[in-house]
Amino acid sequence: MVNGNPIIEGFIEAIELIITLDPQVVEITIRSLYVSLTATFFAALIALPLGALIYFYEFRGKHAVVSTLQTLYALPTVIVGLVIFLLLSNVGPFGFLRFLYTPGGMIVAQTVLIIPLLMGLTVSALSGIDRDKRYTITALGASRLQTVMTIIAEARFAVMSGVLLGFGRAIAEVGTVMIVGGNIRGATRVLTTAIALNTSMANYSLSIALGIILLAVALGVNIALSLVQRR
Amino acid sequence: MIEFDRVSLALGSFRLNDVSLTIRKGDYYFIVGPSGAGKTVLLEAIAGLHRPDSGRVLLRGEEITALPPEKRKVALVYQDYSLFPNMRVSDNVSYGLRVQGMGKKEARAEVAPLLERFGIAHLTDRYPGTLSGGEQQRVALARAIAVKPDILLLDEPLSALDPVTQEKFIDDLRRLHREDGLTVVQVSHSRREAHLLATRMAVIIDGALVDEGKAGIVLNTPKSREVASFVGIENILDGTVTANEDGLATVVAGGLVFEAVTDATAGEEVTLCIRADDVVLAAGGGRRTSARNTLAGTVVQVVENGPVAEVRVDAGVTLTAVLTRRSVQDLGIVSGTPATLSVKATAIHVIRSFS
Repeated sequence: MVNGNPIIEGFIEAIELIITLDPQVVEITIRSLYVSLTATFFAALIALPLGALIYFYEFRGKHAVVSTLQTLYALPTVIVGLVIFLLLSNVGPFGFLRFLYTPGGMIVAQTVLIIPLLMGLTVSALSGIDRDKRYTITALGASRLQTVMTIIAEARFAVMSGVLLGFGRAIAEVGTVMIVGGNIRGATRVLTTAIALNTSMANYSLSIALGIILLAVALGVNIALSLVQRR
Repeated sequence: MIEFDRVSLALGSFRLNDVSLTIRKGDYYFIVGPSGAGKTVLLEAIAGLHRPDSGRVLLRGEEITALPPEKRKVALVYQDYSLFPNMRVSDNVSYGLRVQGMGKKEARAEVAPLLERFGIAHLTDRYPGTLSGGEQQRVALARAIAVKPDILLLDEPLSALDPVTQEKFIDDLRRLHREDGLTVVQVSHSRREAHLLATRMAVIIDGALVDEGKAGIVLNTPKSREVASFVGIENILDGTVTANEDGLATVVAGGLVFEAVTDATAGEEVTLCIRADDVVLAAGGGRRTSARNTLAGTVVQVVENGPVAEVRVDAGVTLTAVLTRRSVQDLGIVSGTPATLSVKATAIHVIRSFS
């Protein structure tokens, strides 16, 4: 019995929305990709060198720093959302930026969210290059900088895996973008917040269409991950 | 060439205590010792990867204690080869030249003859993950040789290879040492490798250098019981000298009386070291021979090992003799066969308790 079942009807309509490139679906998808890709880019820009610094330099409390980073992998998105909201709000120290309820604010929030993940995974990726290899590089005549660059180059696929995981976490999260972005139609609405809103409004077809796209993105990330890890 | 002068160094649970040694140009120098003794730390200290807590390192008479590894003209090959998995074979081999400033094309051209020499030219564009253990080892060795080091440092290079590949690799190493005149320092725990390759060797136990010198002397006339045990002397007996006449001592060990050539005097505690190769075994009552030590006993075990067999005989203490398998068959030796053991007094190495 197809008629009357809102879920099955929703699926059919969702496929139609995707195939016909419904403007609303396209707009939300592009914004989601833009926000999360930009956040991943900035997070990588900050986290990769910091992760490398943590790996290459011996300092007191290094172990505690790595443990803290690993703990922050599971940082609740709503907490990050709340903190960034307070910082960017009119009464907060960065209110003058007028980033609240803009894609810029959402990028900041997602960047903050995934920086610990990217830093921790960078440390893990570099740790995968064993001590013997590091010593071999040095003994072959490489300077300290050349040693660092060779190790980073050797760990590049593991580092890329970390970046892809970061992007996966960013695009799939709903808490920070909901709080910081406000889910404003045509301005800050992204895949996850649109799914949450449309489901609550019983607009299943749009929710399912956006859900399929989100799953496709996640699948794409997974395929990219496995391709990278196969190297 | 390179000299360690009372070097001490602590690194986690590993340490070197007051190590002094000299590696000369053209040496094939073996560092042997049990696991965890500090052999690899010593090798890495030669490379300059660890700075000593005390003591000095000298190169051609000049102090280089603080000289960084990249300026020491050494190359290091680890047991696991430590190849770069994301670089092709040619890039792996030319890596050392590249970091020294040579261009990619020039470096590739430079290493081409090396790839030919090590029989890996056909693997130029392959990644290490697609190579066999033996091929990876050759790539690692070629990479080390490419930088034309003064000293080649090898950390148990044969331990991960199958026996056939090991033999080929031993030939490669021998050629490198003899034909190229390369100074090689190799960490190993294999007495056989030391026999085949070493010109000089050091024995390290618990971070301390307990014996050092020409390989033949360290292997056959060890300075202490623990070294004797480590270098694989099959028969080690503690005893007491009861008399010494013109350098021929009578030693009571394990309730048996031995004669051995030594200056040890009556009353002195000694350790007798007898290589199984030096024990002659006669089935049954045996014959009179010139050997000063003749012991009657019963065969308790025959362990065949390739073309030879280790025969263990209970003669009051258990002694091991090495015979060819053919001899074991001809003499009909099995567990329970009565046997007579003969050992020449000159074949017994005596370790004196104060040495």
